[in-house]
Amino acid sequence: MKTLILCITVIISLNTFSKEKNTVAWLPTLNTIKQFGEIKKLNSKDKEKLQSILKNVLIIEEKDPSSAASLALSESYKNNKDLYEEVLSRFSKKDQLTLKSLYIIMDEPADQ
Amino acid sequence: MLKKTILILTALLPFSNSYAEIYTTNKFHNIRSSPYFDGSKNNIIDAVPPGTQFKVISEKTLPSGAKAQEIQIISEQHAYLNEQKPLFIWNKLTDHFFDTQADVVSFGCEDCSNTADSSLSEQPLIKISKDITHKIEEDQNQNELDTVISNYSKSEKVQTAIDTIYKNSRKKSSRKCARYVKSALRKAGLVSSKPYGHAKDLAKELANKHGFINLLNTYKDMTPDQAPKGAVMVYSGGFTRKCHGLCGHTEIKLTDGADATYGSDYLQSPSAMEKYGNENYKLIGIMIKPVQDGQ
Repeated sequence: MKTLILCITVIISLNTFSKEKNTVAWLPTLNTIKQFGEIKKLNSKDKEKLQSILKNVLIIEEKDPSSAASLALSESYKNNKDLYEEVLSRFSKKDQLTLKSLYIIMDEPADQ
Repeated sequence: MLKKTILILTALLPFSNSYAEIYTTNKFHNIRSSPYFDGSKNNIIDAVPPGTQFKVISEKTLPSGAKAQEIQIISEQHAYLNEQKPLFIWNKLTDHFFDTQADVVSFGCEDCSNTADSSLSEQPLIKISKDITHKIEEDQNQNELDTVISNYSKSEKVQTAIDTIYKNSRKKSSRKCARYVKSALRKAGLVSSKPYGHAKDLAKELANKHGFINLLNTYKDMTPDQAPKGAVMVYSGGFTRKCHGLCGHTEIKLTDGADATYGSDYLQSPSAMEKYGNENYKLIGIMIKPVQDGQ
C-alpha cells in the first residue's frame, strides 16, 4: 500500500514537472516538503515519510536549479542527521550519491 | 548623558529643518495653484527662472513618484506670486538636492553662485520661455518614470550587468545569489562599491547608498514579469535560514517578455515569485537606477 502511494506521488510529481512553468501545479509538492522540513524532531516512524519526501526532492532537484527543495529541509536535516543517514541506504547507489551532495547543501551556511 | 543628548538634538532639530526648507531652482519651473500635474496646463499660474529661492511648506508624493511641494517664494522678484497661494511646484524624480555652502539646499543647481535671482529676472524672458517650459515640463510629467525605466533598460551599464550574469551563472544555485548580483552591478558601474548584506537587505542598500529607486513604491502591484529588463528583483523569505532568519533571494531580469529569464548565480524562468509563490518568496523590491541616456 505504502509503495503504491509512493509510486502515485512520484508519477504525480513527474507529471507536474513536465509543466514546469505552471507554478501552481508543482507548488503543493514543494510546500509539502517545506511543511515536513518544519518538523523539529523526527523519529523512526517517520522513515517512510522521509524517504518519500527525499524522492520528491530528487525529482525537483533534477529540474530546478535553485535547490529550493533541499534548502526547505535544511533545519530538519541539521536536527535529524542520523535519520537522514539511515534512510540513505534505501536508495540506489546513484541516488545515494546525489542525496549526499544535497545533504551538503542542507548543511551549508548561506553566503552573501 | 543619554537624556541630555536627546534634549540637545531635539532643541537643534527645528533649526536644521528651517535651513533645509529653502531651495533654489536651477531651471525654469512652473508654479501651480494645485498639486495636480496630469498634463493639464489649467493650474499653471506662472513660471519662475533659475535661481529663484523658495521655502517648502508641505510635500505630497504623486502616483508617479514625483513630489508636489506647496511652496512660499522667498525671492523678492517673484514674491508677488505668494498672494495667489497656495503655490505648488513639481519636484521630479531626476531632480537632486544637495547642500550649498550657505546652508541652503539647491534644487538641482550645480553652481548656485552663477544663478543668482537678480541675474535672471527679466519678465520678457520668462514670458517667452513660459510656453516652451510648459511643453517640456508637461511632456516630462507624463513620461518621467517611463523615460527613467527605458533609459535604464537600454543602458550599456545594464547590458554589462546582464552579460556578467550570463557569463558567471552556474547550472545550479550555489546559494550566493546576492554575491553574484552585487558583483554584476559593480562590474557594470551601477554601484561604486560592493553593497553589504544578504539578498533580503539589497533593496534598502541599493536605495539608500547607491541611488536606485524601488518601482514598487510607485507601482505597488507590479510583478516580475511586468518589471523592466535589467531590474533587480529582491525577495524576502525563501528557504535558506541562516541570515538571522530567512535569507531572501535576489535576481536580475535578463530578458523582456512573458517568458523572461532571471539570473543570479543561476538562471531560471519564470521568476522566483512566479515559481515558488509570493508566500514563499515575497517581492519587496523591483530596483532600477536613473541613468543618463546611453550610459
